[in-house]
Amino acid sequence: MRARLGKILLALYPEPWRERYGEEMRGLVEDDPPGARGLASLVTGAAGAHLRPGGSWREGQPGASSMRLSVGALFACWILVSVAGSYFAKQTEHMGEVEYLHPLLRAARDAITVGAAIGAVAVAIGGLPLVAQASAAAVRRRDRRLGLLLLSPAIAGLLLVALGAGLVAGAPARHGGFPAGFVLELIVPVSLGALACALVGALAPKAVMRRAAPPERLLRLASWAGQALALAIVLVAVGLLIYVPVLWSASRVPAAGGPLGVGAKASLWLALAAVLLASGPALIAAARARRAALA
Amino acid sequence: MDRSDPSLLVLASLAGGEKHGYAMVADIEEMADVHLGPGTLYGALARLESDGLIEATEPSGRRRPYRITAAGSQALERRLEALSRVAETGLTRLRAAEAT
Repeated sequence: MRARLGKILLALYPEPWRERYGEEMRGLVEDDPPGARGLASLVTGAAGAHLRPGGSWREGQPGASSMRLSVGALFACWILVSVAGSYFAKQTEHMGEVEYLHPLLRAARDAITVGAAIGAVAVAIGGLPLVAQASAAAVRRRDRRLGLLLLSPAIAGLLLVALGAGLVAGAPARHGGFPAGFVLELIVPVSLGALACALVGALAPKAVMRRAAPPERLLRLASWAGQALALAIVLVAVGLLIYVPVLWSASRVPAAGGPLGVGAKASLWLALAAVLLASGPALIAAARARRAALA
Repeated sequence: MDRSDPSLLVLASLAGGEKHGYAMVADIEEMADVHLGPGTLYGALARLESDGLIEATEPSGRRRPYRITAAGSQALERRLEALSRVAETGLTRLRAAEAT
């Protein structure tokens, strides 16, 4: 059981790491099944391998493979930023008056909006040709698995909508009308479903590219678009880094805090943390993609 | 011996001859009473290999032995000497304090 769990955790390591050390590590995990600490060492080791910029295990990697992995990582970071950004937009949609009183809040929102626009354009420029190539490959090769991978984010989205609709439709029947705490009853499963959707959306491009094996010119284009995507992530991070603390301090002034409660403001800190968490790996992946594209 | 530094433990283990992962874990446990997890061990191996302090040899089946390089031996010697100076000084001071 522990050996099996250990082998599952090996999947957390970057692909080039698994190619270099995976077989040996699998052997070690079988010979010496890890305890709780050993399993934790696999998780922290995988995080370290993702964050470490260099290492001889990366050097033998072909340029196309390096670009593919870096572009996949950048896109995954963008998904995390998009989820946090959507949450930020929803929470602060009625903050116009407060932003008018605090020019710094307005400037920060502008930075976030510009970042979101740059990111969307970068994803379209870099991502759409890859989607077209993967779709053509799926049809040409009659590769059902590739088709399923391509459709997986849409399928996950549809399942989420179905879950939400099912919960709303089923509530009156279960409770004889909408009960007082129904919103909470709805929020928890839908939020978990949305997280699962985001995870599928973040991981699917990597799996699609691995299977579709796009040509180098498309990966090079996506790598350059990835530079803009990294810039967009930094802009969103800087915007949130200004917006959230300023809003927090503004709330101490009576009548200037706007319609947000303390809980909502605290959850904006969570969005900020998520974006900052994505920024580091995004910058590392962008640097890797740039190096591979120039090689 | 700095028991918190897996790289040092791995170098010290390989100073006794080439070993594969499992043999290193067993040797380090016997030598320093430290059980290195697989993530910690391979994190250290990857760092040491990137720095040219160890090198992999021909694999036998799933196991790939590693050996210390000349640069690795020099680095290990320097660090052990530094640790030895610290240990010697610390012990001398402790004894002096006990004597007074």
